[in-house]
Parts: sequence; structure tokens; C-alpha cells
Amino acid sequence: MPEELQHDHGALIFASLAEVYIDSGMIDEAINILKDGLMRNPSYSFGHFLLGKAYYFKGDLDAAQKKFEEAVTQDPKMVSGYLFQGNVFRKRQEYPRALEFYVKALELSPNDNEIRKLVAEVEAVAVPAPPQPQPKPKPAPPQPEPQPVIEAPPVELPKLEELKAALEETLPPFAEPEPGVEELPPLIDRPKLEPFIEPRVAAEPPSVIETPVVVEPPPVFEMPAAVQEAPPAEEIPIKAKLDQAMAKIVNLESVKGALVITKDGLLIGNYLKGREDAEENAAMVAAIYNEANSCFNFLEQGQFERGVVERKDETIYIFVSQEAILSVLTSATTKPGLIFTFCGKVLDELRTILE
Amino acid sequence: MKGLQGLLKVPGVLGVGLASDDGFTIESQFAFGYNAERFAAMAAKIQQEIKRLFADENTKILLYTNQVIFLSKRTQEGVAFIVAERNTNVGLLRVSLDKI
Repeated sequence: MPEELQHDHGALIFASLAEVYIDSGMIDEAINILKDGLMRNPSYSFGHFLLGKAYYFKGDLDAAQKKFEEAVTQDPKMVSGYLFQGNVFRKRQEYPRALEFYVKALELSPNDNEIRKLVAEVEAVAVPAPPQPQPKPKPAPPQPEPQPVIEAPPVELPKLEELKAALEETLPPFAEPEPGVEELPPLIDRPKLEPFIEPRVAAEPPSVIETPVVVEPPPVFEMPAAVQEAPPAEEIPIKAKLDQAMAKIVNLESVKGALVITKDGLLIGNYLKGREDAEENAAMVAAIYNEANSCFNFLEQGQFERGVVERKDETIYIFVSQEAILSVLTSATTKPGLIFTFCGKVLDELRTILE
Repeated sequence: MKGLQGLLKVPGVLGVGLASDDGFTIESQFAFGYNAERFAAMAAKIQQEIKRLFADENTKILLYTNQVIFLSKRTQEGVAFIVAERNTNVGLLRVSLDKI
């Protein structure tokens, strides 16, 4: 029974915490916690999916793809698993494959208009599917085979030209930085597109190839942009103050470490000595605080101020200030009075630092 | 439970009780105006959460609000709990809880 509980606990805590990290743009933190959690819960499909999502936002499409594959292998009905696989291929400009996964997702969730829209969008780009049989023309270069390819371009050429003309009108500002075109990868991303289009127009002059390349920037699905906004710049002085205040507790003998966290379990400061389970500890402390506080509120017995959880080999002290929770981990033999006294002082400092 | 009842003599103690794992009161003695059943449910709920988080059976918890102090410990008979006023001698309660 304890094993089941532990399993369940691990799954809930690390996955929900990782989701918060991903939503907050803390991708590396999410990846760490997910890797750790999945080592203990390797069959947790949603965990694999989240790890894939984190890799996806980080830009590591190969790793993301692997994780999404694992997730849908374990849970073949996971719509979001297929959806994100589609996103991966779409990002790689492999539209036919992206379409496969979007269609699969739509099959599982036929009423989802968002997926339907994605299917339509990718279908529009992937329609020139004829290039797929292209592998045949490659090995046999003679003229008779490119013929089917030649049939398609006449239909498309007007479109491409129109688009080219339209783009030329609207794109002059983009055309200026031509010398540094390579620096504009997310939207225009030429090099990625080439392999897709090249085979289709293989028989045509290279100039024609360049135009469709510019025509293709539909995936404006750029969530990572939000992710990139994450790095905070002004935390250094606060961090230094925090470190200074926390040193008073952490340097106490028999104190194993301390954490400063938000009330929803996110780390503000990690002062655990030689331990890598800070995120989990933070989540647990927040869970205890929230559970106890809601009980006290329900019983109308005041607001949670502090708590002590005494386990066999260690004791966890929890102190609540307005903005944050201070949690101190000590050995079981530490004198509680000592911790209360020191932490009371540090808590006052934390209040002013975090205000 | 005998040990717990002795605690009622400690100044500031508002009540003591023993709850089953699912939150029902097994035994309790509380000052007038305090609902033992609610505290029993709370004790069991918090102990369950602690057990779920730490997979640990023998955990003792001590919680402070601005009004009361709440102590709880899992025993062989169930979840023992004490509710006391904020200015009670917690050291004494903690030691007494250890002896149960």
C-alpha cells in the first residue's frame, strides 16, 4: 500500500509541479523534475508527454518526438500526445507527417475545432503531397518519371507567383536584412523548408525553388516565444539578501537545509545541503500548508502560522509569512526552540526582502 | 487514551481525542463549544496527507494558528490529537504525546 501511495504521490506532485514550471517558462526546471519523477514512475504516460512538451518548448525536437512517442505508446488514446507530435513535424516542415498525427488526434477527439483547424491548415500546405513519390524519380533520373511532377506545377505556379508578388510587396522591410537572413530562423527558416520543396520542383530552375520557400511561413504556433521571455534580470540583489538572511539558519548545526517557497509550492530559494529533491520538498511543504490551512479555516480556528512535522529521522519546520513559506529541514535531535527563535528573526527579514 | 485524558489537566488544553483513519471520533473530551468531531476529521485528514506525501507511518505534527495549537500523532489505536490555546506550554504537550 505505501508503495502505491508513493507512486501516486510522486506522479501527482512532480507532474503538476512540472506543468506549472512549463507554463511559467521554467523549462529546465521542468525537465529536471520530470526526469527525476519518471525514473520513479516510468510507466506514467502523462509524465512522458510533459517531458516531451518541455523539450518541445526548449527546441529539442528530437527528444520531444521520442517522449511523445513513448507517451502515446503507453496511452494510445492520448490526444495531446498525437497533437504535439504533429506540432513537432510541422515545425520541421514535414507537413505530410504532421498531418498524419493531427488526423489521428482528430479521430480521437472529433469535436475539437482547434484540431480540425490545424488539420485544415496543414492539409493546405501538405496537399502537394505528390512530391512524396519523388524518391522514385531520384534513383531513376531519366525524363519519363518527372512527368507526373511536371503536371502539378502548372496548377500551382500561378498561386506561387501570386504569393510571391504579394510577398514582395509586403516584405521589403524583411528583404533588407538579406545579408543576415540566417538570423531569422523561427518564421522564415529557409534551410528547413528546402528539403521538402526541393524534390517537388527538382526539374525546375532553382530560382523557382526559392520563392515557395518564402511562401511557406504559416506555423505561427510559436509558444516558445513566451517561454523565452522568462529570464528575470533584476533578481540578483534580492537573491543576495535572501542568501544572507538564510545563512543564519542554514549554518546552524544539525540543520540539513532550508527552502523558501511560494504558497503554491514554487521555489524562491533553495538552501538544501547536498540534496537534489528541493522541488519535491517544496511541493510537499506547500501541500501540508494548504491542507492544514484549509482545515483551520473550515473549523474557524485562525490562520496557519507555523508547523512542525516530526518524522523518524528528520523534522520539517514550516513558517508562513505573508508572501512565502520558509521550510527548514533538521535532524530529529535538533532543539525546536532554537529553530523557532532563529526562524522567527529570519522570517521578519524575509518579509522585508520579499515585499 | 488514558495518557491523553491526563493532558486535560494541563492549563490551556481545550480538548483531546482519538480518531479513526477515516476521520470518525473514537473517543474525545473537549471543552464546551468545541466540536470534537470536526477536529477528529481534521486530524485524520492531515495525517492522511502526511502519510501520502512521506509514506511514513510514525509522524507527529504540531501546527500553530493565531488562535490554537494542534498536535497529532498516529498511534496503534488511531490518530491521537490535542487542541490547546495558543499560549499553552507546548513542550509539555509534545512530551506527553510522545508517551502515548
